[in-house]
Amino acid sequence: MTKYNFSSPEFLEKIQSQDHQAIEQLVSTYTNHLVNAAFGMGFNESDASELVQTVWATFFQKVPTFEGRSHVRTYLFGILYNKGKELYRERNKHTSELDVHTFFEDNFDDTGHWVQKPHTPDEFVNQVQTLGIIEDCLNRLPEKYRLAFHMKEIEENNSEDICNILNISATNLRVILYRAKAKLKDCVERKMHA
Amino acid sequence: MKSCKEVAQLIASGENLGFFEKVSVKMHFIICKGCRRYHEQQELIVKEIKERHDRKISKIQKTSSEVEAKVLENLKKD
Ligand SMILES: [Zn+2]
Repeated sequence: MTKYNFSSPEFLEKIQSQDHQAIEQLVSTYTNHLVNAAFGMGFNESDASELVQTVWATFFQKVPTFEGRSHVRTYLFGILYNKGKELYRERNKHTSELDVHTFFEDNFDDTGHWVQKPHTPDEFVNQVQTLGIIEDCLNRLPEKYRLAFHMKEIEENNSEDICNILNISATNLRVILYRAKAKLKDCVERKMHA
Repeated sequence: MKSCKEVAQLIASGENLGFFEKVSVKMHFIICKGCRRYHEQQELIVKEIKERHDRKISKIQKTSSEVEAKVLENLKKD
């Protein structure tokens, strides 16, 4: 079986001319990655399944006009992100941006030192491992934060790929990752003291 | 030395830090227990999320195989 180079113009031509072998290779290579990312965004089996099928349907619908300016993987994940956005908002109605101003106000005193929350490291570990806290806090992240966090921290993808998929700058990605982690930490703290 | 708040603001800005800024952030972390603890707790949360995701791997694989079969099946029909 021919092993295709997915970033070559020849491969794109094969896909556009609906070559079955090329399509099969593409689908078998990326379906798992797409489903993985869909789970990373917090979708359950049935939502993830439906979402990834929609991604492929959209891809095959759009591929005749795809010029190959980005890697096919970036293109697929871009579709996943866009299609996943609405579903994510529907499922997680209480997402909100981290208010950076209050974050700094709440966490630091007038001298710029941390306002330490009264718990021991052991207590923190136990609470973090408590079922429900983490999932709930993850579901409070905006969809862009959630996917960026998943791709960078869980899948350990390179930053350039993530920036291309989410259509953001490297600075913006670092801001998003910082805020995602700060927001998660803040949410866990609040739940521990609730 | 920069305060904890200033260090956090610097990292939160997402800007590429210059050599001296990077050194001063590193120095701050070596000296400051509060920042270290905050960072460690964040990493602990990340680790926990990673472990939870890893536990879903068999579900992910099962879903992937089903989706792959359905997509290829649909393409054959077209
Ligand atoms: Zn500090």
